[in-house]
Amino acid sequence: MSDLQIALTNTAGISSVMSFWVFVASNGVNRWKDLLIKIASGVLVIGFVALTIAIIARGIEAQRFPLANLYESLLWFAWATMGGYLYVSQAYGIKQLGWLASLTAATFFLYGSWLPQNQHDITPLVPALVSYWRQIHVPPLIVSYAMFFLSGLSGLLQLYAAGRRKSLAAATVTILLAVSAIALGTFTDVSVLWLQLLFVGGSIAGTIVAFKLLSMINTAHINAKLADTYDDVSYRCIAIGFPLLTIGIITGGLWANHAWGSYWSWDPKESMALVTWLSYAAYIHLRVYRELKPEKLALVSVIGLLLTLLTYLGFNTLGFGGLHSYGQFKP
Amino acid sequence: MSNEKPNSKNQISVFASLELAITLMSLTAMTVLIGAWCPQESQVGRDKVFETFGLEMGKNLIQWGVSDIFHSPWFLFLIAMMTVNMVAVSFQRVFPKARLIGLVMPFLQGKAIRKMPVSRTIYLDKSASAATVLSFLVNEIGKKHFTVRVANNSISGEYGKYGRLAATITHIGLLSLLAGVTVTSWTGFSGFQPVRMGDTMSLGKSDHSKLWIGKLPAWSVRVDSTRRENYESGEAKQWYSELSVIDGKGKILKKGEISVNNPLSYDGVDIYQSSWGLDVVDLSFNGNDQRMALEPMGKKYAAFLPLDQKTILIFSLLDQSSPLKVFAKRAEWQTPKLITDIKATETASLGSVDITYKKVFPISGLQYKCDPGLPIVYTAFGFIMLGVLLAAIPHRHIWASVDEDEEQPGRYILSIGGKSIKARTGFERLLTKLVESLEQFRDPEHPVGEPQVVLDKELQTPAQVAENGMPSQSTIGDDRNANDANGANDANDANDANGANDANDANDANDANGANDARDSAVDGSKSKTQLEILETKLQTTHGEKHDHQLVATAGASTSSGDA
Repeated sequence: MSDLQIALTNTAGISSVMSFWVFVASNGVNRWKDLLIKIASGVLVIGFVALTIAIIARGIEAQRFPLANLYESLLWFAWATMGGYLYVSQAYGIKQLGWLASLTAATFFLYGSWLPQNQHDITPLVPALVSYWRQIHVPPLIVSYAMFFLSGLSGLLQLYAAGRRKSLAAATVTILLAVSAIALGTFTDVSVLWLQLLFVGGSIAGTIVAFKLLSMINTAHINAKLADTYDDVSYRCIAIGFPLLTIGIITGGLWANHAWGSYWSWDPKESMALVTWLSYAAYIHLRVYRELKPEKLALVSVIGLLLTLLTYLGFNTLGFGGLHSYGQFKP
Repeated sequence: MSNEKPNSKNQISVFASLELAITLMSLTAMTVLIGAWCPQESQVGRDKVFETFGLEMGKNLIQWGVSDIFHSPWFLFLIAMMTVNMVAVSFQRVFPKARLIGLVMPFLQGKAIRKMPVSRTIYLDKSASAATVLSFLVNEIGKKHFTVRVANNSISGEYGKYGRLAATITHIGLLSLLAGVTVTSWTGFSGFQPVRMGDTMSLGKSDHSKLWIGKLPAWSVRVDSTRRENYESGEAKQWYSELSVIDGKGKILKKGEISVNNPLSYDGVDIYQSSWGLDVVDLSFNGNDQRMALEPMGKKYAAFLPLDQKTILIFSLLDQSSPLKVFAKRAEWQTPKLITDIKATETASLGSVDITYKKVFPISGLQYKCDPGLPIVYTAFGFIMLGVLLAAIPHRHIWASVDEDEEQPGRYILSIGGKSIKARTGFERLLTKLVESLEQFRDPEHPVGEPQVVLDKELQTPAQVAENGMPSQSTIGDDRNANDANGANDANDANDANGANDANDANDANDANGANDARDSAVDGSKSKTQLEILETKLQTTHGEKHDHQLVATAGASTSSGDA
């Protein structure tokens, strides 16, 4: 990795962390709130631009499309999260999603930086990845994952604005359990069966509790207009992410057919992408044709976030195996 | 609560119900999740199941069918149900809506507009003429890429019309996908065979489904040569095989080179390079030929020849063109020692033994398949991608109308309103901006009217409304609740106030909903009296106005007045 690339990537990582803290601070100091939010957004824009250049620089240095291993996909994910937030905040004039978006980007940067050095190094491609299909198949998926994350995070904010604080707490704990399962799976030798139980069991129990707690409304803390906006934002993100996921799955099928002679082989990652696709298809049907309550939809988007996390990182770190092990780094 | 629509929506079969669709999607998702979690025998073999879960648990999983879940009766049942559901939904619900795309939006007048999910009213300044205001508005809405139509004192604008075809196109795609998969399953076949260089592969033992009406080809495939290309570091970069398709008499029908990602096609069958290795090496020891099996060792392939209890000779090859390296390994040595390199066909002497490296036989892993449904599947992929892309377009309607104020004759009110299912908040912002741009025409004495109140979907009591603090959140047209009450069928209403149904819907927005709401609330005893009063008032007003506000509807929308 060249020094320029390291410097740019670090700039992006530090920007996301700084932006997060300034967003947080903006909630504490009412007097400078607007100014602080402006600064935080500005810092995030700097990080976004730096990361864009960093990814391009990596592509030039590697002489190939820079999306070939877990580390590079994490950079793309962080990039899409930042970019997606900047788009949403432009379109809806919302700011509070900012600290969650920058926190997500920062977490992924941190996760990426902890990966072993061989992930950071630019290495030659394995034969299976030498194909123009790689740049058609992978980017839509990574961007869709980022949009689904933003949707789930908007869901959390929707719960907050709708006064469903207990449910929000349950949903947050559920996400944290899932994230810790991923972290343990990546950096420790804890048995994968326990981690699978932690992730899946935690998710099932957590979402059931969160649904049960929806009836407990903290009436003093309802901001109906904001709740409505986050509901809308959450759906907008899915409306962007779902076509991208569909295109990613289908182009993956086309590539697989080209390379392996079969467009679908029930590989674990394929299956998991289908599960995610079905869950968002259900969300869209529930929303457009059933008009579920926004709070329930918010929890469905959180379930979607958990499934996205499982599809994106869970499969390699929780030991599911399969053909899509390029994102894996343990032997 | 049952559907109270006068049209045929309530004749939709149970197989087309949204509840069934959601249930099936959830069950399928869970089943696939389990299939992703448990190694599948059809892909990685039964051993992997035992390796992952141990003997006891592995046995159970196999017995329950979890380790081959995608061929289990349960999964096939789910797929069958989904097919039925999708066919029923598509033909009864989704496809009929596609017809509406050709129909033109009706014009609405003040009262109808004010009942839209989002609406504003502006008292016009006396100096502003209706024509000026509306032509200004047409221009402004046009700037937002709406298609606008104008009638006397009314305009109707639509954005993202083709977004409404999303469901239809996606469902056509999904049905075609199912059709294509079925064709393949009934007539297609596939297989994998490792073929040593020079050998021939027959397609007679291909895999195919149990329910099968296809035919296997009589020709076979010979591997004329096969090789590996490396990066400088020695990692494999690409594998190549020269293939000949031959008939029963050995006549060559087609020749071609394949590599990973570049298959050979013949007679509807595609042959892929899927793996590569070195199989055996022919050596000769003092003139005695010996064939030795090679095993993969890291990047290389190696054969082992024990000389005595403590010494092993190791023959190692990187690929078909590299020299043979001969190592010796003794128990007390930490690593094997390189003794000599032998190029192909050459001989090296090791003391009293002459070793000749005669030839190495690479083995080419060939995957092949015949997939007659593929063109249908690819077409389906196209439809699905197009459909989901269209779904991202928010479909929006704007209506505006200038009407005389009933209470103050001579005063005119501009009503502007509309709906957007996919981006409500964004639409509200749009409307707010439009209203701001109309500031020059506003009568300064009257503030901009907010959307009228509004019954929430569960018809909250005033106490609840106060508690939740969101009285202005949903208007009557906001249909979240109307839908809940009427069942999923009514999604139509919220989505398309267009065409035949739309005439009804627009009508609903004016009168029929009022009646439905009244009925709903009458059934539910818990509704507050105040709301009943509101409803009654509404019913009266709607009855009163029924005949005087005309829906200037084109194309078949004129049934509306008859229905009520």
